[in-house]
Amino acid sequence: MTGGWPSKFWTAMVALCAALLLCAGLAGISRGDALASGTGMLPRQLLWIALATPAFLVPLCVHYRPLRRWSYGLYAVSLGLLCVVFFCPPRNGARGWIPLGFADFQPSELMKLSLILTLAHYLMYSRNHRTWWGLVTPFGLTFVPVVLILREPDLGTALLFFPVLFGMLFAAGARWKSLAAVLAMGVVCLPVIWLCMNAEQRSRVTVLFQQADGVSLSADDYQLHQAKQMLALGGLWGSDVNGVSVNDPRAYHLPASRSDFVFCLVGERWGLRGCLAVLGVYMTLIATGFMIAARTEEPFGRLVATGVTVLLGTQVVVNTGVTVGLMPITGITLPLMSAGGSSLLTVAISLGLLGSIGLRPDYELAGDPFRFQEPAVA
Amino acid sequence: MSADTAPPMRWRSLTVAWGLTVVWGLLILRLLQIQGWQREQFTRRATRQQQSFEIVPARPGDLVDRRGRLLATTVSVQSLFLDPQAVSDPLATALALEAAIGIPADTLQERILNAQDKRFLWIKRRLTDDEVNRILIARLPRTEWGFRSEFQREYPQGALAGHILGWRDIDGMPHGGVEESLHSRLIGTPGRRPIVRDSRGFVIAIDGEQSEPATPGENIQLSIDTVTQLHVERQLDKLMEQHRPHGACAVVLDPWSGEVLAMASRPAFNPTQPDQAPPNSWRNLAIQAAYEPGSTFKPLIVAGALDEGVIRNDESFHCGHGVYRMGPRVLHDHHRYGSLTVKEILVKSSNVGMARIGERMTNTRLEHVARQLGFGRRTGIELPGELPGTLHPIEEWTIYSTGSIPMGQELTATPLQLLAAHGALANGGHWVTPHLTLSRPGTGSSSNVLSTEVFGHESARWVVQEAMTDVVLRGTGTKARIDEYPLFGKTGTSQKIEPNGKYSHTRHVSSFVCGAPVIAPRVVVIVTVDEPTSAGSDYGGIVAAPVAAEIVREVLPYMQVPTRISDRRP
Repeated sequence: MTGGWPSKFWTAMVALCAALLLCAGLAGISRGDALASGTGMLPRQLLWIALATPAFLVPLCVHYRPLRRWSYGLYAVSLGLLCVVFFCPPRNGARGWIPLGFADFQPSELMKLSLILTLAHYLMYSRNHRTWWGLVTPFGLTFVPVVLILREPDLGTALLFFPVLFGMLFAAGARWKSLAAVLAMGVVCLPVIWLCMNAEQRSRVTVLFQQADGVSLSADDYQLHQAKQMLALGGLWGSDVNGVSVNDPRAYHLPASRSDFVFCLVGERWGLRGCLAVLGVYMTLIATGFMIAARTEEPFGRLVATGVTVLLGTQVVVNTGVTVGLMPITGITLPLMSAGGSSLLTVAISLGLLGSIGLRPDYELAGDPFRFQEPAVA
Repeated sequence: MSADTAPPMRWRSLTVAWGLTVVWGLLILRLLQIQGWQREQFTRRATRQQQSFEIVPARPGDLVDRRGRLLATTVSVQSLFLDPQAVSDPLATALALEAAIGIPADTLQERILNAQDKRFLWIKRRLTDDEVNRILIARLPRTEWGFRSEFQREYPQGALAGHILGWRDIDGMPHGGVEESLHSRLIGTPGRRPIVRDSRGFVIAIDGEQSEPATPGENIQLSIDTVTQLHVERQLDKLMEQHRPHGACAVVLDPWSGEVLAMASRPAFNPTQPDQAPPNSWRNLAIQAAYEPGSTFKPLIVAGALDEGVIRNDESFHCGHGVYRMGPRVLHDHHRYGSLTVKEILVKSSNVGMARIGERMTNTRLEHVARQLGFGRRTGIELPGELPGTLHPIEEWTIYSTGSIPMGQELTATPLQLLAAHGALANGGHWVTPHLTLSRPGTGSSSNVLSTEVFGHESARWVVQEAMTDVVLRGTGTKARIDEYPLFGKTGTSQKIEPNGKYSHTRHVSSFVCGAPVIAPRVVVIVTVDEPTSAGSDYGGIVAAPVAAEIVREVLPYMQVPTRISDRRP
């Protein structure tokens, strides 16, 4: 439909952006290792990247078509795993992990993918989401996992699902009136959400409005303050060029820096130019994702590409927004850059899927034998 | 389909593109603000709020006696803590610790489990050496536990000299004694160690470079002698058992230097077990109880009168056969004495005789002598809570005072004040501040030790060598006579004041002040007994004198003073 560039170009762009972001992430993590005296996270992250490469390549090489059939099953399995989580030992007060011995598995990560596939499958041929009643099913499909994840509790991850739903409905051609109405409903619900939040979650929101860049600290905004300070210490050119600007390790202390706040480490190391470059690469990646979606004629592929891109984009915006104090701290990782395996594997599979869709933008010539049974499921 | 979706696709794509541009624009603007033009403001912001200082306690100094024997010291003891987050198997750890320190395993396991989100948990503080060894042998994983050193005050001599030393509580705060009064010198200067805490208050870093090390406290040498102190305390214990008084105290003083060689008070407490001390044991009667000195005051007035020249030592006074009228008041003696020499007045402790000397002195001179001898003000010894006693201002003195003061009434004094005044007699006329610390080498003499000439040498010598020696040889103090050393002394039995303000006829404070040898005395000793309750006489000459003499008999040989029986007057 857009023509011009060959299909391989867009997939190559995805791979290139991913590779650049992985490198930036590694640079940030190694800076974090240097600042923290404890064990380094870099070797472990390299191992995860080694594991994530096949997770990217396998979906890329095979056709994404069978996923259509598996999507509902995958959704059911993910729901089951989200329930299993409640029988696992809590960590830092939250039950989000299933311990597997060598590593921990986070079912909410799997759920992100499953939901995208399921929604794509549901929305691909149906037109009833252009009516009010037609919105009930996609919202229902989204609400069930959201409620389960909220029970963990993991508010940040749970809230990621709505932009995905919204974006996919948008791409599937839902009426803007319906979407606007849903948005308005969400705004109306904000006070209810506020009432349901616990004290810590509220404090994360309130500190956002109390940032007085230079005045007293409470314990609540320590992390936010340190995050901004870390960025500021990098300045325009970063410590790689200008050297360390403050000889005081306390200024560089930032809890969870290598996972949730890796953007700050990059900003400290490479300065503003590094931050802008990283944002630029993300912008390119997201634009590529939308381009792939727009080029894809096949509706399931288009919707999956949209869902994946919206998910990535939302995570990037939320994470960077957190680090610069524009959003409340949520614990959302920065895709491809944050240290940690679960998130990296999910992102790799998603991008593999995106690349695979990018390689196969056209309608299938041969019909799927089970195609006609599927709408009956919905 | 493409024809159907093309127009909506365009606005949808545009919406997405604009949305992304706006969001990215916001992010970039914020980054420009943080890393660009407001950079200084962000980096200058204090990290101080999260930084605090941990106080590194200084080791308090030791207290040693005049011969360097340790009286109070500080040892480091280990306290055991766990890092509950690092404990992999709470039950195994609890079982290992049960064997080592004897806390039941289930209690320990529960405590560990309850603190699993914490990084620090005290298990047992102030471990014994055995416990430390057993913990080391238990070979727990090194990441799970640690020792932290804490200071603990120890008193190697046990209960000895408790009133002088005082004690320290578990936080190292001093209570009484030189521990309290010399606290600022003993305690040293605590160091500090900058520590950084995260937002939850957990310590995340210790900045070794900015640490200021603690300066240990000063070691202080006291003037007391452990052996002398031990003799004195044993004698007091014997006295307490024999006479069952409310209390008793004794002080041994070097009259020349003012150094206190021993000071003890009963009932006493043990500084190592302050929690078991009876409530009436905290008071050091030598400085925290003021009595009317009674007859022990008489030699001081006689010396003063001789010195002022209002009497001569060969003079005689008529004592009115035991009755003497002074204005509206009638004084009595125990015996009907006729004419008595000055010496006889002291030897027989005649109240009438003293009143007649008082008339010669007049109130002005009496008050002058008493003030010069330090009555009515604190001696300045390095102990907390010393009483000043009472000596009324001269304006409040009446005709009664002229008779009362010379026999040691109408004023109160602590035993130490009285002893210091007798020290001035013994050393030939100089009142020296009694003190407990020896001057530090290199810093010269202790600056707050005063030496004031109070009497002329001859007056003091006559009172000591003629009058007070005869008190022991043939007067009220004969119970203090010992073969080894010639003693001089004076007994005193003062009536306590009843709640109605009148003198009691049953409740007395018995005391005896003495010194030895007579020529160039090495020590002066006071023994004061508060309300002896056992059967028999409660006169100072009977209750207190033998104890004081016994102290002299034990202390002087220890001080290598030769026994000079030939020195004794015939």
